[in-house]
Amino acid sequence: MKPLQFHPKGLCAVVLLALSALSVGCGGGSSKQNGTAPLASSGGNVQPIVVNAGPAGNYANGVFTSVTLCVPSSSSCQTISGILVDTGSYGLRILSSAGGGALTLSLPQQTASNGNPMGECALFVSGFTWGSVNTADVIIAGEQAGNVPVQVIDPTFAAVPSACKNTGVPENDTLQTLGANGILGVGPFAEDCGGACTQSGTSNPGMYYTCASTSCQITAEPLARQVQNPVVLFPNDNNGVIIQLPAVSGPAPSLAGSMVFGIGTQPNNTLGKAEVFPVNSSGEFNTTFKGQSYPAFVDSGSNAFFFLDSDITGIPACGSNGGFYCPTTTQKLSAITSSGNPSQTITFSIANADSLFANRGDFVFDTLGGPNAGTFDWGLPFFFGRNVFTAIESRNTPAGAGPFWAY
Amino acid sequence: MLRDFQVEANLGRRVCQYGKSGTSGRRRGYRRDRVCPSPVGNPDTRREALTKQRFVSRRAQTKCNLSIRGKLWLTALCLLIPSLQSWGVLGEDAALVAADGARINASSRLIQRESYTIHELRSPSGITVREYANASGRVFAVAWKGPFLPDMKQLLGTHFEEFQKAAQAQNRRGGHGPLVIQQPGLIVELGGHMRSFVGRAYLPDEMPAEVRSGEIR
Repeated sequence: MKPLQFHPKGLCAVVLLALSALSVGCGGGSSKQNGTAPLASSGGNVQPIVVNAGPAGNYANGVFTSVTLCVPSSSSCQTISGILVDTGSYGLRILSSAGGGALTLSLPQQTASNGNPMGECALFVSGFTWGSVNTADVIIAGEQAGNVPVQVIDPTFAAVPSACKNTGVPENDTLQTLGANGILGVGPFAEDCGGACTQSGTSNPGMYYTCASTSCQITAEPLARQVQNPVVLFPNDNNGVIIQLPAVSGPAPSLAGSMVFGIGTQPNNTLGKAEVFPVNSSGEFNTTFKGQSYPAFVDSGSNAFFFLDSDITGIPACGSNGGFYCPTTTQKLSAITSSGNPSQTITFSIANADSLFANRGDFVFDTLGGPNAGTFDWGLPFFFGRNVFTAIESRNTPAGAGPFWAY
Repeated sequence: MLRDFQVEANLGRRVCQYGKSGTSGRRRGYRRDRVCPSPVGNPDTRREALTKQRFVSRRAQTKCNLSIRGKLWLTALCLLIPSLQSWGVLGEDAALVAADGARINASSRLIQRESYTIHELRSPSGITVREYANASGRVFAVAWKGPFLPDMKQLLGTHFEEFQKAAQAQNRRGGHGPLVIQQPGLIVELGGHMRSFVGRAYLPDEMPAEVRSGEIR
């Protein structure tokens, strides 16, 4: 990741963005709304979100919110902004001040039966986060979850275990590498690992560790102690979330929207005409492109439409931004998302990423795309102008139990 | 991540495998790393390999009752082929021993294609790794899929550091998304999301001419 580059124009943009974020924080929807998706502007289950440069000042297509953490059953709390909203992961992770994050509140550590603190290597595609497992009361909008196991991302917590390093993906334990003060994983599962991590021996994939002063050992971690999607621990509105972002046309500096908790639990979170797409045990459904079906998922934490490769799409990758597509002219495409019977055609466009990035003050890109061999990753631009419901596994909704997406 | 998974062939090295065997115990306990007790290669890989062998051999005591004759046969096999590995590595040779029915079990199987052989292994934690070896036994590609990542250091062998550096240099303009590494002579692609990962690595210069990259998955 490139270091931050500030120049006067960029600084102006940052100030403007901060103002824009403030207006969101004051509870308003968005004046930019021009899509068909209505924004839920108020209610105890509505949390403002904003797409902007994020706390590292350099994040393209990152959607952020703020979260309040408290020492359990106390009034000792801290509100942290710049938390990435991620439907592709599960659980709340907060970057410690040791990693350059905003967290200064001292949260109690989760300990193993031997008294040693628990550590976790949480695995993402673009990197891993390492740190301790802590417990917090989590408050978002008017919702509160008690005693939530969260990860405190901390590169100084203990030596990173070799199993974590040997994944080869970068360590995202600093503000620059994470690009956020934390990640709020509100995807379709409750825990970040699930059954595999509850087992001992060879079936355990090595996400949870007990850590003595210097070294950590892989250990089994029961489901309820795993870092988990705080939504499932809300007393109400706990079966899923809706991400609501208005449509945009062309690059913009920021975009405000809402995250609504619960599906069919309040007048402001009904499914309406949204089509329901059940997902499999991997959290995936299908997408058909040019007659061929591929595994697919919806992920607000991916910062573009990431799909297939240049051979199949005919769209060349960029030279300097190799992870993105750089067509000579903007490509209008369509693909069919499906899950058994329900199917919906999605039309989208892919523009030249180098051109999109030319204006350093823009951070919202509805036509940003990139390669992703063999898979369709419907990243953040998919959410623009579309209310996307994420229902959590085994939680009931008016459309049946999750996991599913609906839009 | 994948401490339980003895990868048979890292990209680019030989595969060392069992030959014929009849015991069901062996079938259940099938682990190639016991075939070659002295992996060579870089010191790190070797140290890890030995650690993992010790780990696995404990399991072997309960799960795999190789006959003395079998052990001798396997040891002899490895001695005869000095470069045999406890697992192969991307870009090195795979010495393929003819497989028999015993090899096809829940955790391992062979798939024969026109110009290459796929060795498919499935770990207890649910990761499937497929290794692609050409006619002369060289591993030119690996692919993986599962709820976690495999031990990429083991899988990519000498290409691991190159992958690691390129992954760190990946420019997503501050954001997150799949990894696409395109180095001269090495392609690595990693996608998916938490609890479901998919990826592949291959050496374009070593791909049999008729193989298309789309076959590596």
